[in-house]
Amino acid sequence: MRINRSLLLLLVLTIGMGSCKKEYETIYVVNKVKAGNATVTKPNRKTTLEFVSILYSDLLGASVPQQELIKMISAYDAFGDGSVVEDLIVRNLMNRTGVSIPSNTEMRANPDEFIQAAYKRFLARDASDYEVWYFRNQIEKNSDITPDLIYYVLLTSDEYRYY
Amino acid sequence: MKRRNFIKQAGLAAGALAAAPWILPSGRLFAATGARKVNHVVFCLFAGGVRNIDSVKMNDGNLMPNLLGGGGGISSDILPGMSMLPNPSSTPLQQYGTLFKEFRYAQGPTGHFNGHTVALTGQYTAVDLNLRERPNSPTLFELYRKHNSPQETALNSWWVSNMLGPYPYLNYSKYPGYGVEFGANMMAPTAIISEEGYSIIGNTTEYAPSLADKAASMRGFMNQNFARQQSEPKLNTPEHERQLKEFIRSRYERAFTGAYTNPWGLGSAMNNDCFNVLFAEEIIQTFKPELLVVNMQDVDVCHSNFTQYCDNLRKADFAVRHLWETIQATPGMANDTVLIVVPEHGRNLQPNTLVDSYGRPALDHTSDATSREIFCMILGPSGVVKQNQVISGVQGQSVDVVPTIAWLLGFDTNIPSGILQGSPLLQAFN
Repeated sequence: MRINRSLLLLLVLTIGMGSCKKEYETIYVVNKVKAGNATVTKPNRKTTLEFVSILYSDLLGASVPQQELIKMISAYDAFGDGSVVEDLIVRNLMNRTGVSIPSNTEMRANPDEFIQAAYKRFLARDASDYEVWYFRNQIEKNSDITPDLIYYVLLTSDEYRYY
Repeated sequence: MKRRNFIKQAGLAAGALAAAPWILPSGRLFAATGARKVNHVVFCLFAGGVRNIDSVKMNDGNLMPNLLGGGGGISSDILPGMSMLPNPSSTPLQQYGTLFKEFRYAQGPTGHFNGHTVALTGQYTAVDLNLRERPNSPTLFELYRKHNSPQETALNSWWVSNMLGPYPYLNYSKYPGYGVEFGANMMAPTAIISEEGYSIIGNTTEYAPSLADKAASMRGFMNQNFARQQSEPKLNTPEHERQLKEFIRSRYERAFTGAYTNPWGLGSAMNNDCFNVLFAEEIIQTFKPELLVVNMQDVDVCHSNFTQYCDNLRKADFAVRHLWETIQATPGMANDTVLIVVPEHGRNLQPNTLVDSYGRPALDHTSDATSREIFCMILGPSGVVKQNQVISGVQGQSVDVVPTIAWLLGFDTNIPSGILQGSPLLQAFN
């Protein structure tokens, strides 16, 4: 019985090999994409003065008036957790008239363009393909996500705190 | 693994665990060994420079009738300069605790920031501090957050400052091994809860909770992708940041409903000190912190106006009474809180050249012997604090307050030796 089984196996292998067509070697490649921010180098943390000045300019397209700047620095000094104050300052400025924010329709008509423009405006760089995909996906999946929410996210991100 | 081997190894592991010291998140061994006497301490820096001659010695009558018993009426020549304030309670606060009548700010320049730094670090400073720099020694807040077991969050630890300048920098030090991750939440309420503050951090775009969650998620994606050079320690967790923002937002809401228009019924007598204590009370009611320090400094007008100094001393006295009553009306803190009241330093014996409209000369504080004489009042539950005790001899110093608070909250034994100069004021306790 043992011999018969070995013979049978040999027969099957021989038939199988003989029936194989010659295979062409297939090489799969992927397009080059910019994934993640690993190459982004922003080693310097903005000072409080730099943060509020740049933020004001980024949102309102003008230099922050001196009196406004003093009040902003005072707000920083008056509360111990800078992250809390920064979040509130961002949302305060975004609530002011004169802030240029694309409409929801514009954003949804061309999410990729909106995302790239937002990255360039606030983070001074191109968004990677992965970042564009991520935010496009969020925008498409969530009808309640508005342009100002995306702006809010970018302006309160760790990266915005650095240059 | 066979059952017998598993049982054997599990037994060995359990035995080793029982024998080994516990390693806490802070990296130190063993849990706090000191037993807590209370679960909350409020430290009121009755500050701005208060002279014993004018407070506990009542040279111009009892200017602090809510805290102190006895004494006569206010001197007739300055009486017209006093504001109308509610009648004091028939039971002065000193009956709820121990009064050190001859406390001392023993060393270093008698400057306001020096005095605050000494009170909050338990270390005298030899140099005149007036810089926007963090203290060189760990603050009370850091000692509490690093050495208390279990470790508590910054929501449990507050520094409520009545002004800006260098004072906000006292919520944590630059001492190695301490710093922001052990710091206190700091708020200068009257600078924030104001028209100016509202124009900067109020009137914000608001997002519904579901959208705020989505924003947090997207921010998390971004932060995960952004590799910072070095991770930065944070004062609060994201959830606690959210609670703090809500606290600020609701203060503005209260302001719009008129809650801060004559809140104590004092009319125009409600000064900056009173408002600072008012907001400290709102922090107490909201967060029930284990440790809160609040200061007052309006008596410093004494550099140019002695009579107004006396009047502001009366207001500070009223504010402390209000603070005590708020604590006793706050579930979770009532009968489980020790309140410590200490000026940061005194004032000179000899006046300067300025004279107010009532003919009284003004007083500075330039490190003479009188400017080192202060009082200390410790109030709390009768089972913890000796009631109605007056210590008239020279006992206790400014640097003893931090060790006393550490002892009350039970983390004193975990503080490395050499960090603190003073020792607990055990005379005040049962």
